[in-house]
Amino acid sequence: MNQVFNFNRWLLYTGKHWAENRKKYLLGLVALAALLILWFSIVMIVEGHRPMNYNIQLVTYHVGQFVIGMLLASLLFHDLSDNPKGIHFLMIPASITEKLLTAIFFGLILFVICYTAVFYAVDTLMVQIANSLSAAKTDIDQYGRPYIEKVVNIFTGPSHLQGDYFFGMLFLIFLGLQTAFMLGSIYFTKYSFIKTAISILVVFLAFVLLVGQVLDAFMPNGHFYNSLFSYSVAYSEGGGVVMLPDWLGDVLYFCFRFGFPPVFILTTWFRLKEKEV
Amino acid sequence: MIDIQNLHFGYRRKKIFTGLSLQLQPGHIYGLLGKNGTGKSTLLRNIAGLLFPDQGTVKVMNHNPAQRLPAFLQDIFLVPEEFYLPDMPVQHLLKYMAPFYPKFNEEQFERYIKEFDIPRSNTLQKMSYGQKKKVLISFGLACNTSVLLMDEPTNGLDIMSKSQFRKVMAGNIDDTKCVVISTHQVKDLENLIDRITIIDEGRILFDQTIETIARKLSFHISFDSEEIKQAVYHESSLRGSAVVMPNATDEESKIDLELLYKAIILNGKAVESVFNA
Repeated sequence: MNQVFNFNRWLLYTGKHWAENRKKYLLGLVALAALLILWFSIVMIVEGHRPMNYNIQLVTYHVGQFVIGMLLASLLFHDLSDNPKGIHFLMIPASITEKLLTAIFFGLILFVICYTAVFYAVDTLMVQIANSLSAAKTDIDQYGRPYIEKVVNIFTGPSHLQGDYFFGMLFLIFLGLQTAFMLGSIYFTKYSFIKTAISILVVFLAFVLLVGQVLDAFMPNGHFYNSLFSYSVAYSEGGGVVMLPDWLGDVLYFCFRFGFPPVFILTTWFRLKEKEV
Repeated sequence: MIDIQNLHFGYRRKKIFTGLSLQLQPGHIYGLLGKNGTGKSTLLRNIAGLLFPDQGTVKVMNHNPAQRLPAFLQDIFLVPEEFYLPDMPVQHLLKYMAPFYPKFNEEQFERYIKEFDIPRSNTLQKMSYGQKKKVLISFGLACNTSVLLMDEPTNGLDIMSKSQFRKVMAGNIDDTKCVVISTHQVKDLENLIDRITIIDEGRILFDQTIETIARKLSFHISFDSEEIKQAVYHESSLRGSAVVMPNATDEESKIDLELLYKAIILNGKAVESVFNA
């Protein structure tokens, strides 16, 4: 039998994970629905005019997905910070790859599917309630008709933000952060959510500092132009735009967009492999 | 089956093992004795692949435990001192955990559960600590793994359960299995183990079979002050003095593990000289 990945063994492990955690997950979904209802209700009370408009729905979906997703990801390997649970986890006869894939399946794939399903269920209900309230009130548009809100399509972004591109970028950022928090749940035994958030912030600030201060010191007088791959040199220094070759720019851009999740997943795999309890 | 060579291991501030070597063979129940904090649990965790040696090698069934391959994990079972069992009925434990162990025997498990008098109606989290421990011991035994490691298995068991434990264990050993029981409650292992290994300050202080001990040492109550003076170890009791004597007459006496343990810890050199003679 393959010692790295065996589909049947992975199914067994996934089944075991589900059997152990289903109460927690199902209660989590109920709590999520309750939180969304509470949030939309507050919005409807506070915001008299078009409370369930497109932006409110879209922002609620994405903010909720990011916050709850990262919280969940920071708990994915929380068991390893507790000795008895850590021993139980590591001694189950499944490979590290299978254990990691199970965490990814529940923490990323299933989470996005379930979160989206719960969001749509609540959103549809709340939009209907908002529309009926809008019809009952005299909240009307310029033609004298009550505002009829539609359920938002979260798979496309706002048109002024390039729609699908916006959604795609947001999802990639989500994946990057989600996998970073998953890695953080192994690195930090306590307060992993807070510590991972601080670590990401520190890395981000270091990057900004590197670009803004350190790189600036090596460059001629001027500024980055459009992106980090082209640099506009000031007229006093001779003028002109210095650009990296297109292919190099494309590679770097590709790595920046798609590189983080695989790097974090691979690092998590190695950390799991060398984890001692 | 278990081959430990020149094991060096330490935690951040404390060295535990500095060159420990030990071989354990199938067909035996080994009693790993020692004071608190001498490294009994650490040794078991090194064997199980939960901790990695700083230097030296640990080979278990020709596997490097640190790799934690499924083929290795499905043939080793650890009953830790502090353990975790998921919140599910006993039946679900069979359904979701047993398939990971190819040699698991359900009939055997049911027999142990009955022997330990464990109620089947409760979920594991509703059971007392002792009941949960008995479920884990029953499960570990029914897995029929080649290596079974038990860390303080009788902790938390009542008097009846301790004798049930001894009975169940005695019926479980065969020529293919190697059982290592770590404990500081030496009385609980009487009539069960066939080899005693005592660890102290990271080294093997004593390692002999029960057969050799019975041949070399004699345990009895004495009122003879001369004999008491010559004893390797003695302690006063209401019934007279319990003594450990060199067995000069080849008389057979019941080994008092507690007395032997005290003799080795408090007068190790005298005991050693008896075995080297």
